[in-house]
Amino acid sequence: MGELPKKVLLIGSGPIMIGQSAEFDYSGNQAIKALLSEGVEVVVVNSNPATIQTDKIDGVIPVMAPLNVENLREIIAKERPDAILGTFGGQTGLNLVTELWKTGILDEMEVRVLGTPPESIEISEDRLKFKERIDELGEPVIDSRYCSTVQEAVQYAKQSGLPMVIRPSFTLGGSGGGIARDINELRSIVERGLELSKVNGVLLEKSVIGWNELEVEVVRDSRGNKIAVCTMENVDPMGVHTGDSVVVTPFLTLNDMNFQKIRRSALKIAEGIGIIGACNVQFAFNNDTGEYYVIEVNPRLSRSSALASKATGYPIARVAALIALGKNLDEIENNVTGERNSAREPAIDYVVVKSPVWPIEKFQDADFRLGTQMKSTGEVMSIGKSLSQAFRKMLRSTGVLYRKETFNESLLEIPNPSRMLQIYMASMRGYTVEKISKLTGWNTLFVDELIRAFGTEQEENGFSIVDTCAGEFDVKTPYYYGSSQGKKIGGDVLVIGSGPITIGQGIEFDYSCVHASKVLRKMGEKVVMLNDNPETVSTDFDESDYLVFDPVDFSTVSNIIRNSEIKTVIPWFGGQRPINILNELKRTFGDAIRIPGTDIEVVDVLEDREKFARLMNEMKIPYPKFTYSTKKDLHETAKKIGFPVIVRPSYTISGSHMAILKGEEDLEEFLGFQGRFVEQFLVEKYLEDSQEAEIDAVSDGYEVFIPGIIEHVEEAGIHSGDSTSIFPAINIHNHTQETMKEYTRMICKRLKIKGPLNIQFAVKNDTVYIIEINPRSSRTFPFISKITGINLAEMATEVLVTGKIPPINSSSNMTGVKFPIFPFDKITNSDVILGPEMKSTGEVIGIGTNLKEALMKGYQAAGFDISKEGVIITIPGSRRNEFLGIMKMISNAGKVIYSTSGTYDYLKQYGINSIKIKKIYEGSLNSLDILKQGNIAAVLNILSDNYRSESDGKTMRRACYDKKVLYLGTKTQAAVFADVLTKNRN
Amino acid sequence: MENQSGIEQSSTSNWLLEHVIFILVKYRVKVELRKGYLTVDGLGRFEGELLGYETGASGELVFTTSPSGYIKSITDPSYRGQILVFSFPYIGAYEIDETGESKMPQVRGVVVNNVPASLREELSDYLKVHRIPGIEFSGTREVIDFLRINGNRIGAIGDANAAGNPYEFNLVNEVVGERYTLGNHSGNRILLVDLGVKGNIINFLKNYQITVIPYTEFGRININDFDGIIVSNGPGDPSHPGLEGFRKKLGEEIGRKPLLGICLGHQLIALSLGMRTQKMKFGHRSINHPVRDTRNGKIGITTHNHGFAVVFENNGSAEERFISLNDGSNEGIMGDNFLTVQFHPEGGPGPMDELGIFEEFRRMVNHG
Repeated sequence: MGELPKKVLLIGSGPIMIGQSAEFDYSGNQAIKALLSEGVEVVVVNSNPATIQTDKIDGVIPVMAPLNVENLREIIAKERPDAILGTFGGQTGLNLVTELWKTGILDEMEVRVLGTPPESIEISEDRLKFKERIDELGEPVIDSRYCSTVQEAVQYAKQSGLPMVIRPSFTLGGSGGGIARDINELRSIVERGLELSKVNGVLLEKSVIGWNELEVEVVRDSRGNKIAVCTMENVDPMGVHTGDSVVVTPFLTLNDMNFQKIRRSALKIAEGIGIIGACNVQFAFNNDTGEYYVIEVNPRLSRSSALASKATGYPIARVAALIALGKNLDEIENNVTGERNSAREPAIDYVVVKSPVWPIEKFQDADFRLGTQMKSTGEVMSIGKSLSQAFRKMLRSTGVLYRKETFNESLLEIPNPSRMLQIYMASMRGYTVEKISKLTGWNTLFVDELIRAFGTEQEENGFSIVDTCAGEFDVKTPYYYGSSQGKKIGGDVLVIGSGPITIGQGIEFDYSCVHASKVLRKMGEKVVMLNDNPETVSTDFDESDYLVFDPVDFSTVSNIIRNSEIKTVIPWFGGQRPINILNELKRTFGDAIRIPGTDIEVVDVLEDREKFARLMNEMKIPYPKFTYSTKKDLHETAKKIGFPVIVRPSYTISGSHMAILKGEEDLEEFLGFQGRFVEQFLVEKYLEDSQEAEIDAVSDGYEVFIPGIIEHVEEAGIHSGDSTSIFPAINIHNHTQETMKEYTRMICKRLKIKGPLNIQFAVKNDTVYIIEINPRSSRTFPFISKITGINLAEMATEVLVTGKIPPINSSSNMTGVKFPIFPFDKITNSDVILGPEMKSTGEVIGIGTNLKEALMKGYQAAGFDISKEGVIITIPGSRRNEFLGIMKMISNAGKVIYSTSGTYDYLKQYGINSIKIKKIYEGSLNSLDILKQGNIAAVLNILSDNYRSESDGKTMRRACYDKKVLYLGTKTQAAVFADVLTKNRN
Repeated sequence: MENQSGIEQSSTSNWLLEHVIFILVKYRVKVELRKGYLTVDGLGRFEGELLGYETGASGELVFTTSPSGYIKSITDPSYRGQILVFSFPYIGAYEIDETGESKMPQVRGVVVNNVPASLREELSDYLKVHRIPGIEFSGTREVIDFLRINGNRIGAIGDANAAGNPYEFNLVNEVVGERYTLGNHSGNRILLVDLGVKGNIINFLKNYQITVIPYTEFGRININDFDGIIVSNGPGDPSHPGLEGFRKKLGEEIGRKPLLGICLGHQLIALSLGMRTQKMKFGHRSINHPVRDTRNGKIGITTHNHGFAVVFENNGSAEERFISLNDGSNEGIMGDNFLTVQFHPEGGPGPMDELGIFEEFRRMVNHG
């Protein structure tokens, strides 16, 4: 065992995006706890504000900074850590630590890499070296070739035969990969893959589509002791990214001989690669012949390791961190059983199911066929005594149980998010299990049990436990899942968690739940935490007193209330999901359960638009005019209110199915789409070109704590979750800000709001309108907390317990900018235009002592390089005058402007030099060609109202997201950008 | 890696009866689920659905946490006299055609939590053919918790009494077969002393010319005819008087030829060396147990199936080679020309991390 490091730099994973979600905050946070327990100081670098790991606690130095080599070098120079951990920050962390090592920075600064050495990381990341090593180990690996040109790829495919799987090297969540069935498909996937790959290479390999996909989580210490923590069987066969597959634990369809064959291979590979810590090994397995291939190894903590930890109770990240410090498996305590023995392989006495959740509602025109490109935003984990029990819970957690669809046989054959429901519908139509199995490629066991799950309601009465040993040893800190003949648990307060990560219901809510639990426990309460999301910190075994791992729904809450000692329920921190069950809770349990904070009737007033309007009228607060309308009257209503209007079904999470309609034509199109499902709409006046802002606050009914105003860079109409946000607001008049604060106080007092709240405003012609009021923790709570140093979730929890706002003794003069991160590169065929439907999966933060610094960091963290030379500008004639100032600033900042004909002439007229290019539909050399050449800092593209412009705009936006170039589609976005450039020069 | 070898069973006389039952079971009209009870001495009665053969049975209640290899467990001769409770609730998710550790179930009964509906009949029929009763009910965890806290107890399925002590009997006699030979005729000659040997042990010895003998014949063997001796696993109490003669003879032969003892074999060798064995509270019966090799500190994950343990005594006859990381109990000893392990290096079911044991024995044989 080497000497213990004094200070370790831990690299976080950055924003939540498809393929890299909250699991890395969980893993990183668990590693930090382990390091601290050994007296090691930790520097954490991350650009994601909604992370527990970046909280300021004793022994941790959080640095909110963009994740790139230059920044890390600076941070290392400043903080002088003597060791670094890159395996807890997902692929981002792994790539960064490899780069730092390769460039010699680590040697130069005397920082040693803890855990799996970079040489081993390289073997598992570089497909060629990987194949070589696996061959040497005598393990089977699929015939494959590494290609760096399209031609090479085509030739190889012709000689080896299609279908082929294409995987770009060094990308996240399989970005740019795919399965090619013919040469044309191959060409286009390879081309895209080469573009996305950091090292300009793709791997082509023989397809094993349809085989069983298996995973094993292995932990190995530096002495070579190793165990298989968990085995996982993908219900969806090979061909679907494991992140998009339904997965069961443990292996169910393998007999012992095959089970051991795969386990043994996994351990051998961990040994052969030289893993020190954790890794995930994936296999393709043929259930009929027993043949198998090693597919890949992830030499780091991963989505699967988070799932494996939660499924077994074995804290892989914690153990991996202690192994990195030099401890061996028999020297590490098992926290669940309390023995000094982490060398026992966990045993489970239940079945676990994981299901992904996909943002299908948000991207209705997108292509959701599933393949090697991951498309889900989050996942749920369900625990049952049988597969059908676990499936049933999974259907509740994902909401698939309540979904309605029309049957379509082809949806059985093509992997897609509807498949589970389609399987059930097929069985109702008389399809046999065997036939469905044949069509879907699912094992008959899975088909049969899924169908049973749909058809059988399950009574839960009390809880069974997750204890890592299936009852063989005594336990100290187990966690719980509902079962038919369970035991009762203790607890004082239930905190309802936020469930799977979907767009609009992100990790920000888990952040608040974790803090609520911390505060409650500090105040002596025993906390029951409910969540079904395995990627979260809230489901770490030591973040609450009783963790209940079950669907976040009324039925579970009811089981908890009936079979625990809790008397209080806190629904305010888990986003909209817990709020949705409040009424049922109140109806069923009445006064038997206390829900501290805002009255439930008030929640109803705020969610019911008519009651809300009455309240606003009484308080003389302006709000956008609206009215309810049936489908039939929609034309009439819209005309009466006056276009543009926002139309939506009532009661929706983060703008589901909302649209801004500018005229009759839009309305027709909207009806064609939504009219099929919805009869009743809410039609609201859209405040065009207004400024949007919001307030996060904590109220005790008398006093209100308002940390400041969040300014949205984009105008109202773009979902607040998708807005670039500045805090504290800079471009909003003081008196306007005062009005917002005054309204907030008035509302809090009038409604006796107790706890957290969020109010959204729009400002037009100096009038402040209230758009909506959410009496709960909001998405921006962590963002505000990181800038101000005041933890709003903590404060709100204190109010719930004590009834009073605690004294505040913190002041910050920092400015922060929040940039949304979009999944457009993963969800193909989707339009990338922003609107009232939220589309971002996560966010990054830029913090600085002034706006310029914050913006610079924000752009960087979001992956935009604005130091590049060129800016492409297209502005329709009618709006050029508005943009003259901005364009001048861009030019004066030394940027080379590329402009299309009209804009070019206009600029020339004002003495601004630019290079004339064509519009996309005019041929080459057009704006897209220039963009692809790669030296572009930003694209300023304002659309005119014609079809070609729209279509060009769509292509351009898509290209910008693919190329990671900043796209400026609104005046404010452009102004902010120009501002930064200008200030940046001085 | 696996084949049907196993060992010859003495119960072939029932062949006809089994077939008759099999045919009856296979072509019968589906019968209603049968309610019945599991009685646990000291805990009470649990109602469940009966599986398998329609008769009562009693035995020592033991549990395994293995999620795989249920057929291997059920057919493991070391489970003689016992009713096996599966911790993993979802037993039987894959078909029953897995190769067993012997030709038929050896347990007295099977207790499961939840059999997948589509495979329930298959498992039940299999047990029925072999005249083993089983019971399925959702409270298995309560039984396991009880056994963990209070130690192994007698249990009964159906109308049997939860009473008696299976260890009164020399259970080994229920499972040993007849003498036979197999393997590679040009390989080293190995004497395998059968006390209820598992099929998978034999699978790892294929390169030898093996002579399998029931332990009762050991006294009549000239061990100079062999290059090495293996004493197999088996059921029951190693200190049972019925094994006295064998232990004595074994004690006389230790050191003369390379000797490997597995499980019961390990215990008997330790007894012959003057150590003692003791009944464990609820034993080790799972496939996830870490043991440490004291010679290099390395840890291996191993399969266990034992209710008795050797109390290691440093009496100069042997060194302690393996210890359990779970409870510190002895997991193997070694000394002059012998090596013994309490765990099962052959898995069946379970991992084979410690296959080095067979390799080590091979080296002993080659040098011997």
